[in-house]
Amino acid sequence: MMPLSLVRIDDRLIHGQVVLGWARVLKPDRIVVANDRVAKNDWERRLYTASVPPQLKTSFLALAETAARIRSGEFKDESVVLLFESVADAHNVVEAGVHFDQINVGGLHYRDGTRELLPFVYVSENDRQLLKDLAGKGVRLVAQDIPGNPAINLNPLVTTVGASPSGGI
Amino acid sequence: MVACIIVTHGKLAEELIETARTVFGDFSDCVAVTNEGKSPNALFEEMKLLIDALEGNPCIVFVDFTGGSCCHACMRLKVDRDDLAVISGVNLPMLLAFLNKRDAVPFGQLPDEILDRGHNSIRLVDPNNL
Repeated sequence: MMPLSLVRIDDRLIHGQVVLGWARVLKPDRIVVANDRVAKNDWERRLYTASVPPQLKTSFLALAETAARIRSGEFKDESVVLLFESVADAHNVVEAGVHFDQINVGGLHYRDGTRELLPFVYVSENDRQLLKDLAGKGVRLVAQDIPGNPAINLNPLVTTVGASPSGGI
Repeated sequence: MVACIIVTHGKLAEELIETARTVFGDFSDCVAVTNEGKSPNALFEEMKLLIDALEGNPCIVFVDFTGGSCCHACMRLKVDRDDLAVISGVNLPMLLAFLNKRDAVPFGQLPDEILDRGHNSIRLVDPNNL
């Protein structure tokens, strides 16, 4: 297994909080964007690559490829930040046989059919089920937008249907 | 009149416009947008509505920095559009340059005028070497 310094679900993928916040603090060698759409879209890859300082390597991998490479230990000598766009994508890689100790839910914004768990975390019922399943597999789910802010334990919030966002924290 | 949309993190865009009013006087056709609490898609759709409402009228889009979600949304909008110019690193002198020049020079020349002003506005200020 590679020593993943951060596994993060964030619908913005690479952006200011990741590059200026997390990469500054964690000093990773590489950012891996695990996303089927971006992996096959040259323009989007260039857009995200342009956001990253030149000393930081970037990889854009399809989900199946991500799982295969993590399982084979390809990045084991590097410190890696792994980014998913959605809960479903992260769950997909776990289903493909990868274990994560911890996943940071760093930004899921409002979409139709979602409800607020935290001001920067909106989940659909399907997201909640998948997060609950991840929690059941021993993944610690934390919500933390940037390094200086508190890491909020999400596990209790995703295990109950209709859990009150404020009451659960 | 060339329009302007300023897209930033937090309240920066709103405050830039408010502050420019205290220096330049009142002006129109400038809109502030924040990315706060918005998914990439929501931000893109909001920007698209604003741009579509201009019906082809040229527009300068200012963003705070390259690489952030504001800039990403604007880059997606800019693809294949000549009626938009996207400029990053917005500061007050750049906005004031826009307001001064928007009807004075052809649209194609406007971005360079704004960039020049922006570049010139950033310097080490040395009172002994005026």
